[in-house]
Amino acid sequence: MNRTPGSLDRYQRRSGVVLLSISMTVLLGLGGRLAQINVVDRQRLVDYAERQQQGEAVLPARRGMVLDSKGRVVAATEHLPDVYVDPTRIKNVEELAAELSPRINIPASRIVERIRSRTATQYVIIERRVDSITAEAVRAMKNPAVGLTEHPVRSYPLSESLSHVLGWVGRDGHGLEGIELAFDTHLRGKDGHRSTIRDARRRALKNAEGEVVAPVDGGHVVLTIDAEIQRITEDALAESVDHVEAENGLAIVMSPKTGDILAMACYPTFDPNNVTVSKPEDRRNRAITDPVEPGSTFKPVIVSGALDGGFINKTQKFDCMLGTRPMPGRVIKDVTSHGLMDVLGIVTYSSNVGMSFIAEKMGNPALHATIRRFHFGEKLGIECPGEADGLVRPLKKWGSMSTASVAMGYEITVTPLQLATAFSAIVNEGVMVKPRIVKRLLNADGSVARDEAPPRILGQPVDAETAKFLAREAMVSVVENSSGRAAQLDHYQVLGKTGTTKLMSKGAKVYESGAYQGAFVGAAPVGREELVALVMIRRPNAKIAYYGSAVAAPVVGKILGQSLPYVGVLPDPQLASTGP
Amino acid sequence: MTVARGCALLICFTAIALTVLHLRSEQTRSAARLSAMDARWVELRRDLWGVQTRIARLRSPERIHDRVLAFQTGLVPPGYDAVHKPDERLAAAKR
Repeated sequence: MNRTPGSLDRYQRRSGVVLLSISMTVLLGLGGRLAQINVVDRQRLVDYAERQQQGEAVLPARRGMVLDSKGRVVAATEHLPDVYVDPTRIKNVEELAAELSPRINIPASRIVERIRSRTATQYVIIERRVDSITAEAVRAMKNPAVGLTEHPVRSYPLSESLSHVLGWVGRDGHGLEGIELAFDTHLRGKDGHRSTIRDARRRALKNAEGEVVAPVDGGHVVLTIDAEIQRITEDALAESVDHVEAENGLAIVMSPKTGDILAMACYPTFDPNNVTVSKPEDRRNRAITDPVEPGSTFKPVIVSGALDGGFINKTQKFDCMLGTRPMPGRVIKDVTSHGLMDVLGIVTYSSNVGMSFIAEKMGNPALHATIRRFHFGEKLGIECPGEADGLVRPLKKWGSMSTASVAMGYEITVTPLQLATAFSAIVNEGVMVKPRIVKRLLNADGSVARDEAPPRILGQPVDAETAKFLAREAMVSVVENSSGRAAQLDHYQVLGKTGTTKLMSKGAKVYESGAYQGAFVGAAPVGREELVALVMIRRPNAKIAYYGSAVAAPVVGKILGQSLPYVGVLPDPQLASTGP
Repeated sequence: MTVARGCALLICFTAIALTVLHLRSEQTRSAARLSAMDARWVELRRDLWGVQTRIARLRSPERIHDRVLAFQTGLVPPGYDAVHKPDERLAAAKR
């Protein structure tokens, strides 16, 4: 068929018009839709897209570490995964439990029980805080119903060791006790975050612009504690507490020259990795929170005041009345009977009768002033929460029996830390140094935030000559000739003072029959004292032993005997040649 | 405009478009890589913390002490020979 040019033009024109009309209609439709999307629905769709595409990723900050004086990590944060199951994606519960059981070491029956108890949720935690090997074994299952979610966990690598000093951290990551609480602001970091654009499979495609806030890690705390001396102290303390079936015990080891606390232990102890299973009373750092009557360990403090004040002299003799002194309303008794004794003898044999005469010569104002000079009755300002003041009653409240009682270490309460610090002052030729447990603070990058300060002198509560007499003659004599024999060492000469205190019954304000606290505070080596150790054993089984000489002195001996070689103190030359 | 010039122009536009497309995809890929590296950085930090904690556990005096005794290396824990046995102490206390 032949078409004329005119008919072709007409055909083409008609086709063109049709095509143009269709194109225009499509374009108009698209334009309209474009306008609807960009103008009418704009905000709704933008919000929807952002919700769908953008994800917020938290950049976790690390809570700072706590280190001992030698740089050992004693508290750190790590991320440990929880194993969870999504019940909605399980095909066969028994099969899954059988597969999961050997990987996480939980009986299959218990896994089934846990899953069936919570079928309504998509997140059933089967096991918390699993280690990396377990996590890898779970990942290898490649089962979409089983997953892992990581959480920051505060870990204490020494487990039960040092727990009373370190304290612990709550689920929200805030310190709740001990160093963790005292330095929470320094240790705690600040989480960062970044917004990401995600693809259709929710994989992070790229960071959203300008939406990255870097995390700020927490700083570190360096303690004066030495984990090795802490271990020695805890082992020795636990052995004694268990052996004499005591209610509890505590120990402090410190340097008399610097005031550094090298060990601070309470027993029974607890594991800060799992606080909930421990009893609240076992979690208290009794070395600073619980004041106690110091008993005979307090006698050197009183004698120092008497000698310094000129109320007595070293050669003066006292009639100790063969260990029994009747007084109005009471009888003061000694453990062993002695007649005439000078102050050296009174301290050596811990004569209560002798001390009552010394205290009467001093009078209450001088007694009170002596006690206050040693900073009893006030906080020493150690950087651990919960430190108690102790109780030194005002003079006007002292009764007729107070003079003799205070001289024997009753009617006054002191914290074990106060007692160890006062004893350190006597050992340190009368110079009292403030105790400290934190050496320095570090920033997250290891730079120094607060450097180690020089030892802070609290004062000179006792004259140097008096202190030397008490430490190197009287208290050496206690260990050489009297109740402190169990603290003797083969290679170091030890000085110290025992104390055995009756305890008040719980509730009633009377001394309980058969309830005692045995204590010993000692130092070594004599003449170059590097370490002071205080041990208190509370409520031992009196049928086994209860005197400080039997329950506490051996512990101090063991602590000093193992710690001195560790810190590099050479044996005493006169003892070095005589081996065990 | 001749057919040849039209084709050349079309090729030019196509080349420019492909280049822009390539650069854009490269940019997206790099951004994704950067994002993945950020995520990896977080993971590595976590791993590092875990390793540090594990080392700390191994370095704890209790563990070292136990290992010294268990492996019978002949080493002696600090000051072990410088003290009396507990029984000797109690005997001394009773004297």
